Amino acid sequence: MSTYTEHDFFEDVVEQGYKYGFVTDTPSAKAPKGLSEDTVRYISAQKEEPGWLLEYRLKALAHFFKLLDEGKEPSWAHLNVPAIDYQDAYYFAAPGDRVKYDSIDDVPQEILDDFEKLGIPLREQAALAGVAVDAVMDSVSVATTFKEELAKDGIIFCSFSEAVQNHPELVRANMGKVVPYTDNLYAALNAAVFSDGSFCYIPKGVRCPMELSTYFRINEANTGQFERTLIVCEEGGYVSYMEGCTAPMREEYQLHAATVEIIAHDDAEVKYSTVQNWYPGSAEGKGGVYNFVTKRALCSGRNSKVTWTQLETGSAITWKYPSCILKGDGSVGEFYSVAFTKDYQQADTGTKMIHLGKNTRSTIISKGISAGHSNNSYRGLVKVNPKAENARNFSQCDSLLIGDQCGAHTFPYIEILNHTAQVEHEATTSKVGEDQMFYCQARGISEQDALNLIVNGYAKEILAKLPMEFAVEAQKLLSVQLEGSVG
Amino acid sequence: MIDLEKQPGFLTNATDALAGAFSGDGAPDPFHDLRQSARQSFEGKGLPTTKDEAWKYTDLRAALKADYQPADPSATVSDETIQQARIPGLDAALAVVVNGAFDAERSDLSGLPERITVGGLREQVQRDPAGVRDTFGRHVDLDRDAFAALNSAFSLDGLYLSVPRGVAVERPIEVVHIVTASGPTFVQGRNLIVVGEAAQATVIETFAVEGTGSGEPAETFRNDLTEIVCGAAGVVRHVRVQDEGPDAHGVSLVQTYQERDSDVSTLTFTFSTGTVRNNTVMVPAGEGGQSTLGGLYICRGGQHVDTNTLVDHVAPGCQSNELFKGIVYDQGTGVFNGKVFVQREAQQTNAYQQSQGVVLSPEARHYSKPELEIYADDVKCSHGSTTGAIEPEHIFYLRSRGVSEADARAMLLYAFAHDVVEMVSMEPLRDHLDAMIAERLK
Amino acid sequence: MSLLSIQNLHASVEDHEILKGLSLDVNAGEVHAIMGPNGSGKSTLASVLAGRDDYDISQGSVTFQGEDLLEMDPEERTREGLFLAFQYPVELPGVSTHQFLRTAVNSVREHRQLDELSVSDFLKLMKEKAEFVNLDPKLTQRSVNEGFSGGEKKRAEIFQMAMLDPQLAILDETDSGLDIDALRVVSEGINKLRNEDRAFVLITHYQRLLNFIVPDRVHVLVGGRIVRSGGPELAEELEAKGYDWLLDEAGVSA
Repeated sequence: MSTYTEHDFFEDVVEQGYKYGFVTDTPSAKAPKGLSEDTVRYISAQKEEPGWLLEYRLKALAHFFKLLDEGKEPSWAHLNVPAIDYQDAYYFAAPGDRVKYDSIDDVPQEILDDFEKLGIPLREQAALAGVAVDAVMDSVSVATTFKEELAKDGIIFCSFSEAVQNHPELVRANMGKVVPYTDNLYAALNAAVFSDGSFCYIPKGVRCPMELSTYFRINEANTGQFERTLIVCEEGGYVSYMEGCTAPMREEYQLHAATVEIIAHDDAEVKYSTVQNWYPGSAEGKGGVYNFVTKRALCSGRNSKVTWTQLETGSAITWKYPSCILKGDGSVGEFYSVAFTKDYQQADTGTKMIHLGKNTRSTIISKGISAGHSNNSYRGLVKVNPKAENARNFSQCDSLLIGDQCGAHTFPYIEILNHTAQVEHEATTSKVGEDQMFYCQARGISEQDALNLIVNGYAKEILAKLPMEFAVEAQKLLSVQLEGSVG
Repeated sequence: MIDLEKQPGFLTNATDALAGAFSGDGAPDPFHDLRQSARQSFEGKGLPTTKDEAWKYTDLRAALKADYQPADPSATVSDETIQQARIPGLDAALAVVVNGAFDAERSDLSGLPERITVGGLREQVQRDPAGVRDTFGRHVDLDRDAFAALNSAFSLDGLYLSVPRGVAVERPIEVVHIVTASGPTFVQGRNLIVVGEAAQATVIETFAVEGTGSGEPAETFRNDLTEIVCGAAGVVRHVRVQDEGPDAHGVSLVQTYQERDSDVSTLTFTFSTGTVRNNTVMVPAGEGGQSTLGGLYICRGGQHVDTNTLVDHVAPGCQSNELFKGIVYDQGTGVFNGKVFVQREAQQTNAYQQSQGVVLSPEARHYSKPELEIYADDVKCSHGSTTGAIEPEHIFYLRSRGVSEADARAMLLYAFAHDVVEMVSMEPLRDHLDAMIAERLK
Repeated sequence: MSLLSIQNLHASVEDHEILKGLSLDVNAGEVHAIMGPNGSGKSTLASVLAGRDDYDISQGSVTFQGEDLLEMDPEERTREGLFLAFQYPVELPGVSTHQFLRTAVNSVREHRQLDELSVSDFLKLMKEKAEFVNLDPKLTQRSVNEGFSGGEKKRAEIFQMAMLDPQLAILDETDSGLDIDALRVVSEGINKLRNEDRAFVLITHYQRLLNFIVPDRVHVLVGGRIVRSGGPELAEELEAKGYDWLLDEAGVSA
């Protein structure tokens, strides 16, 4: 962070608003509008998928319709979700008219240009050093960098579609094992129409030498994005994985229902970081992305460890609970989150830590920041099952309020079924201190800069857990979001 | 939801029986509309099930299975039973409620200031219907709570206390609720406590079941509701002690409503019971109010105690302080679900909530759901919740000082529980609670 | 023209008048001490000058370098060269002292049409000023005031003053809560920063600070007004006789 000064930082911040709101002008091949078996068959055919996967999709679709008929849209969240017309959307859009790109040379220049504009250069000579990127636009993975280099260590990092073609046995053995399509309505929808996403396999004993990352971009109007990511880390492996996302500014909402599954075997460690910056809708609350995401890790091996770190600043509505099932004895789950909402954004986010194995440990640190007319909720479950001897959990949930029209809420669920557990939960809610603001101003710092300093200070503990490449970006993003939140 | 039509046995019968018992006595029925709407509300909602978010951890089906009959309001109990249910050494006025009916003969309300009105709620309704109607049921949200609706539809007796402006009732009033029956019995109690501006009152409720015939206490299901309305700068101290035995189930609601600068505290101590759900709703509705709520539950055997609280901050500048502690042994289950709600207008709210559970055996369960829902920005709110075993390090420390493991454990648990007793101001009641804790921890 | 000129200042908080016609002139290079019993309005004066907005100014004026100070936002006052050392410095969890001061210093420099400092120049400045006021450099590597002892906070305030290089520094009870050693260190820092251009207003309850920092003028604030002014000898008189005789004279009960 030494090359990047605070001043650059605030300069960047001055560039107001959502700077990722542009649209890439490229033709797009789309599935017919609406959701049906035909849509699913179309997607599966486009991707030349094997029969078993089509079957899986169709079963999931049937389950989705069943849940929908029974009115089983999740309703417990502290969210006001407008009715979604699932027939009035596209479920597959291939940018540049192609369903897959075998080489970077096939990718239309305007797509490459726009990814570059988003800070993601895809040509390897220009690519970010030390970070391998899978770039996904709408329903298609456009390019994956450093694939060959990673393959030397036996690491598989490619688009999900490619993995289905090249590593079907690995996909089939692991997909849906952590998040079955029966899990919830959005998981069923994703399983039926998932388009692309990343697949990552770390073989036994391999520490992945670079950060892996996927950048998701929704481009087409009226199109949902349904990516699916699967990370399998074998015994003793290690990987740090990052996910970023943006979308153009559009008047109408866009649906994003993703599924992420992580499996960590004995002594494996996976760090999963997200900077979520989907278009949040206009200041008046029009449009924006509905971000309904199911992310879950299975710490299946002894002493395995999964860390979720997230900065959530975007989306009109966020419904997201990256979770850990701590099955292996001695496994560790961590969740670090900063969720910022402003204007009319709504977020209901948190985690589930399910302790099944002995001596399992989990840590939850969640920092919510609410401004404008937004509502920001932490919802988290800590469950210690009867056999989870000596489980430990520590949770801390803080909420910061900016302005008097927003809401900050904390809904922890603590279920202790074993008497050797130690579970601690703390939460606080307070406003940005007037005395803190005044102190900064008395040192010549403007109100806006003062707010930036204080909020970034508040979130620092979490942002510092992001990989370096993301930390500065995250801090910047938070400050951009804070613009105009004073008073 | 449990369908009333399909509900085997008692509630369908009970509702009719209760309707007969309480509206057929020739008294004026100024509450007809309220009761009617409460009944409709109850029948519309039905009984809650674990699918309701607020009842996620408490399944009432087993507790409701017996063939309950409405309690006989004309029953009497022995002096011995009454004495046993009292707090030893406490100098207090006595109100006796038998099978949900106020028993004027057994009560002793002497030694209280003359200007207050104290006695049976039912009698008061007949004497001054308009006066009671001003406050009765006004602050209870029937739509939120099926049991409160059930209580409002069919119950109308218990303690009535009205303290006029400026009067401090220094002598505590002890309300002894006793059920006497030979078979499974359903009983409802209703108290209304109205404390005027700058007035003060202390009410302690205890609960007991007297066996008849063979001497074994009957299985009971209580549904109680206590309303406390406190005027500006008024002070109310309210304590409930539940210890009726493992066959006593029930649901209760303590609903408080406070005007500005008032100070209300309500505490619940739960010792031996069956499946019990205790709801507390506090509404500090005027600026500068102070609300304190707390409780202790020690569950043994298959006992299930569910504590559900809501502090609804609607006015600015109020303070709430909440402390609940639970100790769970055997196959017991403790539940704490506490919500602090701060409305947009309630700036400068200071809300503090703490819940702690100790789980002492492999089959014991503890569920905790402390919630903050906050819409004002200039607030300080926090909650803390810990659940777990006794810290082995603490036990080790005491043992290394020569204390036996059993004594160390008892000492630490006693200290843990005693924290809640500290919230009680009356010395004899504190002593009594400490003694009960010591007994229960054995 | 005086650096700071306060004329007939009336200030109230929630309809309670605290300053009742205070007048004071401070010239460049001067050190003024304002003393007074608790509740006399000392901290209110500091707060009003620094621009805390809890106060209503019903009458009077304050000019700083000829400009209307009361019209300026707090940050503007600082950028113009006013500095308040807080009685209770505020903790900013997670905000690094480095980041905080860099933002502050560059905001002030921008206002004075100076180039912004590069990172290396800024670090050099920090190091230099920390040494100058005898501040443990470790403190500059921590979050602003977070977990500092009372003495460390006061020293950090003097360090910040050195960084921001003000024309006029107001020290609000900087001596309170300090033991004699800490008081000596803080006073040394202040004395080092005294020069012909810079003025100081020391607000204090006790005379002992003035053993270390010899003021040019001493004013006694009672009941929201300056009731007596004099040289350093006035402070000694107060130390010997207490405030009561002045309270009696001013017709205010203690």
